[in-house]
Amino acid sequence: MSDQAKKIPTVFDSEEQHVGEVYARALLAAGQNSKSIDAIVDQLESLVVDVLDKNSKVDYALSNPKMSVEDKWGMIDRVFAGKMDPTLVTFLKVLARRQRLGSLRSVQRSASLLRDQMAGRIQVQATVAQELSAAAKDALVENLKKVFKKDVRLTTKVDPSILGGLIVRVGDTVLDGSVDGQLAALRKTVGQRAENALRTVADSLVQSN
Amino acid sequence: MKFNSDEIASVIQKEIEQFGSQIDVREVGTVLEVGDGIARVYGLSGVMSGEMVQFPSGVIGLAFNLEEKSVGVIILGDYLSINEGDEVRSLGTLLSVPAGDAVVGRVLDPLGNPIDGKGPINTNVRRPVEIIATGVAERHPVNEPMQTGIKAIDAMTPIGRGQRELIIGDRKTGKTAIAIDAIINQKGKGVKCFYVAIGQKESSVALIIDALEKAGAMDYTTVIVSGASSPAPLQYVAPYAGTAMAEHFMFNGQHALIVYDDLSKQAVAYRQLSLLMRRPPGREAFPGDVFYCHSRLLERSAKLSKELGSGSLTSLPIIETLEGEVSAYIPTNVISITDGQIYLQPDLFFAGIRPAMNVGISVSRVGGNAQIKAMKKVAGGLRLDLAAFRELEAFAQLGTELDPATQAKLDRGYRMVELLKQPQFQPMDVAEQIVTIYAGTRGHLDEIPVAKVREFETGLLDFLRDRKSDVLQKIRDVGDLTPEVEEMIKSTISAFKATFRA
Repeated sequence: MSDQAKKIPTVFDSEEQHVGEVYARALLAAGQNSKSIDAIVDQLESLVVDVLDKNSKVDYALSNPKMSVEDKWGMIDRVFAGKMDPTLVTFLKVLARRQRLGSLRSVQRSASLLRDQMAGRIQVQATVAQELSAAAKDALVENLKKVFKKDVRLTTKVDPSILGGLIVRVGDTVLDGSVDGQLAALRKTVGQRAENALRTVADSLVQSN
Repeated sequence: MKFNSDEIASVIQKEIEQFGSQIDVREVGTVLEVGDGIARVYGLSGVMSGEMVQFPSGVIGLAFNLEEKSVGVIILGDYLSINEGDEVRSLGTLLSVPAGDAVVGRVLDPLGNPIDGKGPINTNVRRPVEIIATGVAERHPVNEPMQTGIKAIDAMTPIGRGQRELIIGDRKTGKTAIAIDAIINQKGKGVKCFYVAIGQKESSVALIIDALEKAGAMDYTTVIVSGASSPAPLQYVAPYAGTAMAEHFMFNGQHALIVYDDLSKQAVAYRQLSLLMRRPPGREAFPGDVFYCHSRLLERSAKLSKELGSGSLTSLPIIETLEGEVSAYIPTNVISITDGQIYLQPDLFFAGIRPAMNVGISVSRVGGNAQIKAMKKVAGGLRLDLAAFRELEAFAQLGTELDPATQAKLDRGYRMVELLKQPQFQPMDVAEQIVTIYAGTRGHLDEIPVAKVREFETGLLDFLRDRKSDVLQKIRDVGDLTPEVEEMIKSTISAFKATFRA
């Protein structure tokens, strides 16, 4: 059971996701007024990836409900005030007041998605069997742009179990061109058809002794 | 027996060469939570209500609840093989089951997988499990009899092809026995039979299949089993799957009979699903659409018009009441949907009247249109005799001296009740029924002691079959009680009576 638990990625919480979406929408609306959406979203991403992921104590401190709101505000001012867009700093303080600093990651995910949506970009995840070269990645992005007729932001994942080919995921739609998927389809379709074909000629297959 | 391995290899190779590889496009979601036969899935944004979805282990589910942030999926199979975080793909189709001649004689589960160990179902015909029932214009009034072989039913509450007749009663009153006798009686009549076992003990179903096999009924019967230990979603889907298989014959100009045993358990399974999906509970904790659950099932049984081939699907739903309470929620629902009901009562059963049908309150809304003319003529008399008897039954217990007319009515009543008793697994041909009921209603049994009436009946039938089979054939050919036929019957009865020793 523990092996299976390890295979499963982070537990997915749809409530948390909803919270993230609501706050991200508010953040981007505020950012639109000050015309610095890109800066805000990039800084938020950097906050999550560079600061929170690397310093678990900061993450813990920010999301700790025992720490008072004033203390958290003080911490945010001391650490981020000069280095971040003021709208983003205010946003962090609002999150602190609402005790939602623990949802920063989902806010960041939703903010990134929303920004792309507003810019007419789609986020595409590609799963490949082996690491792609930069040239291959660019070629792939160009191809995807042609297919979806939109600007594409690509993230890649390497999974050797697909044996080759490509699996592309956009939102909830998956386009499976992997070798593993083809083999499974082959097994299923050919297996059924071969079974039917063998059944029709069953008599001729048996050698009469 | 040796196999030609070269030929086998070449067949497989040809299939591989013909395989056209395509990119597989699918909609996916992630399992948020799973348990008790249901799963909540995040994603699947384009899925439609009732659409089939598939889990990585191959188990199928149906999208049941479309909520704002998640999709509630009912799992048609073992939910223990599904983990949180699994990818769920939508299949873009509605649930369908195999149909056609390949399912006849087999024992299947509600998804069409064989469970009798006699090999796979080889058919290209698949029918959707849920369809909208035929409209008014496509139907024809019920006008052909569907003989159950049970005297009490065929005479008093006759069932026609295309009718829905409810069999309702407490536990252990003989509901399934009536249905099985009806199936056995369809031998040689070209009617395909379906028995859907919902939530039954699998040992009981095995006994039923054995009884059908012994009677030679499995040649034209399909059994769909969703036993007590099978998941609630499968129990919920089972009657629809059976109806889909039966409809294949109905829409191809043939006749079919389907028995749902029983719909109370299907309602309970539906209640389980709805409560787990957080749908608001109504009366007796059933969801608000439990009526629709049954009405859309039973509306699919019909007699089709000539343009559509005049096929028919007759259904015998079974409902179990608790302590005779027919005004509970589910029984009243199904009574209002069906074209009549057969009430079975435990006190009649224990008094020895089997089938334990209460003739007074059992009804068939099709009635005489579903009887051949000969039966209509004798049945009228039977109904009058029994009605008069019921009125006077109370007086018999007083033990007082009664006037001859009243006593005669009582005596006739006792004999008619005795005549309507019938052993299990012995359905009677309609011509034989006509002769025995004629004997009763025209007073030929009045001299026979009540305790000997059944013996007389058995003897009369043997006499008919052995020596006077032309009389039976005449009744079947003419179908009416013409003076000539009546004369033949009368002489047969007198001839037998002369030899019968009381």
